[in-house]
Amino acid sequence: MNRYSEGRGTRARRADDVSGDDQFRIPFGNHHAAATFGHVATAHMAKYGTTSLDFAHLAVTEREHALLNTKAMMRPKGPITIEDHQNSRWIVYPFRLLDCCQETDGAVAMVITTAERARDLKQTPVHIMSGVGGSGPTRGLWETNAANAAPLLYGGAGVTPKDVDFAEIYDPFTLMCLTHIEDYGLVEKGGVADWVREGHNKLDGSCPVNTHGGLLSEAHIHGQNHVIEAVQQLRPQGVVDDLCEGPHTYDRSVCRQVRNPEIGLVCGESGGSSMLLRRG
Amino acid sequence: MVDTAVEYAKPLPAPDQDTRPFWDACREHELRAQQCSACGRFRWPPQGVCPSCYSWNNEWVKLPETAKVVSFVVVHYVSVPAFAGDAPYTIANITIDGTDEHVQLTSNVIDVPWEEVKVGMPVRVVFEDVTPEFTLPKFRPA
Repeated sequence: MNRYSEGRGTRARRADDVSGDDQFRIPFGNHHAAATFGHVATAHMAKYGTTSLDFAHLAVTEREHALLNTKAMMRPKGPITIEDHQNSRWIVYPFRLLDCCQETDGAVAMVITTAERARDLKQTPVHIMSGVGGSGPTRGLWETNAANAAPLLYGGAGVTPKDVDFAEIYDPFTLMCLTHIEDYGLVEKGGVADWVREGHNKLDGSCPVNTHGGLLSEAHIHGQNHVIEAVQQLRPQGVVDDLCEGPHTYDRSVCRQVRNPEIGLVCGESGGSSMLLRRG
Repeated sequence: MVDTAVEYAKPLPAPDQDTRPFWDACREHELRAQQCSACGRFRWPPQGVCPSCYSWNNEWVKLPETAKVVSFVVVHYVSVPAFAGDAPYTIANITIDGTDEHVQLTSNVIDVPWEEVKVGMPVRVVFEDVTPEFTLPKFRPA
């Protein structure tokens, strides 16, 4: 017996009482994922002046991408506008309904093997250049672990953020995607609001982001669907589930294939896992 | 004071050996946190070992009642029914003055319209005795 094995409190616990770190959050009503990540958002807004209107630009672009994706859950809902976003109800401030991803039942599968074995396979492989997992403290709530992962990720692959042709970034809520874009160095810290307003994240932008519609508008398959999309974008035949009949036309009324990408970035929640992928 | 004739329906803390002194202090209407006896750093959440110097030794010291909002959210959509009557309600991360920002509580900011809550806002602790056994530290504009 020591002081850590003497048992918990003496009071009979009720079913919904909370131990561990949760005892300092849950009694105050901090349950929802939007509440957890909303703190990152208001800290970012206070530090950099980011606004709900900036979030809207990301949500609208991701929906545009989803409309070119036959398997996107939100495709049947049609396009959304900045006004739709701004008029959607608060879920947990600063997140409105259209800042929040869906909850989706679904699955994806991946085959991962050595480059040598992949040479004999039917599909041209996509190569993993580098991968980083794990997380540590950041400089503030306004920064995610992606800031810790980025130097390892790019260093491991021997490239820089400028070499990334597109990115599939974990987007449970709009701001989380925005801050990851900064923390992975795709734009300088604090610059993402203008970056999305200028459309750099669109299919013909300088670095398309969430080309399938993301968790917001394709589906929430825990970001594994981001990997599927990145692999599709990097295969010789490109994406197979857009609206192109035959070869890709880059006509953005039907085609969501990025033009000739070499390197794609994928990441999971708060940059706790990330990979750089390269065309085979 | 909450009417204890009606059972308190919200989740309560289940303290352990490390966290019990914090909740006991709240019941006495005091904020207390561990301060490392070796290097002086405040520890939060309560824990056995200092994250800076790895010393086990610590003292539970009384903290100032003043603090600042570091981030906040406002719950409009309530997913736990016991909180339904409170919406919209504000939850903030609050750093307690005089702790080098090492003591950062999550709590409610009360007695102010949610639209007026700001990051950096000075606040002061108020203690809500929610049951005979538990008191929750909440904050209102200073």
